[in-house]
Amino acid sequence: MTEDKRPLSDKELEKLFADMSAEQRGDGTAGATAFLNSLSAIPSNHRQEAPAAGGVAFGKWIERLLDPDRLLSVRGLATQGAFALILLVSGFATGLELSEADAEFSDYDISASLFSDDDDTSYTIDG
Amino acid sequence: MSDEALVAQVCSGDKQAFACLVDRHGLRFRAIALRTCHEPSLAEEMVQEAFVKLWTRPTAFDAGKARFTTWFHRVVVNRCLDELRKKKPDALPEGFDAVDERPGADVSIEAQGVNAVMMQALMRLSDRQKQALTLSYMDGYSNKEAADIMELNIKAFESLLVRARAKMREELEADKADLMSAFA
Repeated sequence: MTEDKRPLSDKELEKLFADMSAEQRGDGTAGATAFLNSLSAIPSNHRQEAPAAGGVAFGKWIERLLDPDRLLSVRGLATQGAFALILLVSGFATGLELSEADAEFSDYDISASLFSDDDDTSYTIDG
Repeated sequence: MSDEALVAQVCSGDKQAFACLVDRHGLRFRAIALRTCHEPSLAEEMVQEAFVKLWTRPTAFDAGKARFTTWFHRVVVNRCLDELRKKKPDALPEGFDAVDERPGADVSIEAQGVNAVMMQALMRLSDRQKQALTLSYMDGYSNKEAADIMELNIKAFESLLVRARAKMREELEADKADLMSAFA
């Protein structure tokens, strides 16, 4: 008898693995059925945790916000640019407004009313 | 209905959807856990815990990030690895020589069974090669899914798979004739 020198083909290897997999899974055995039954009983024995709606939603929102794919997309970069521009313009406008305002020192002196100008009380060292 | 759609229903407390996921994947993940922790009772416990987590906190799965099977595979395997780390055995005394319980070459395939021969050949492969073969041939993942699980790009996974198949063929070379007779 001549020995088969041909290596195992992909199909043969696949078949051998499929047989091994079926054996490991133990499909149709009593143990497998009992195991599946114990898994199916989980909903009866465990309560579902109510998701902390606010926390989860906020977490997901932050996650989406920091997702590099979104952050570095054309839309993401355009949005970031627009925000930076708005910030720049509002800062500039606030600066302009402040420089135009004719503010006196007394406007900022919150203790001015406590020391009246017409207060003529005089003090001596002895009181 | 897709697994992802079923998980969405589990989020709203649908027990039927959960039972459907159990039927589809319970035994498959038990086999995966068994290959990771090599102890049937522990494997069942780990899969049970993973399914409890799926039921109690289904929102932990994000369908936008991965397919259900890819995510659940990681949950089960990571849980097994955590448990194995916890159970790390005490160091053996110096010079300890354990008895080699592997069957010798004189033991025939008929005595061991084809699957045992396959398993022994698989065990002689590197961990990465073993994982690539089992994900692809035994767990039924597509190359893309398996690559995601192994955190490789698809090209790297495919070349790993080619090397793993070649090594497996090499390991099975001596038993080829008997293995081929299994097809008869």
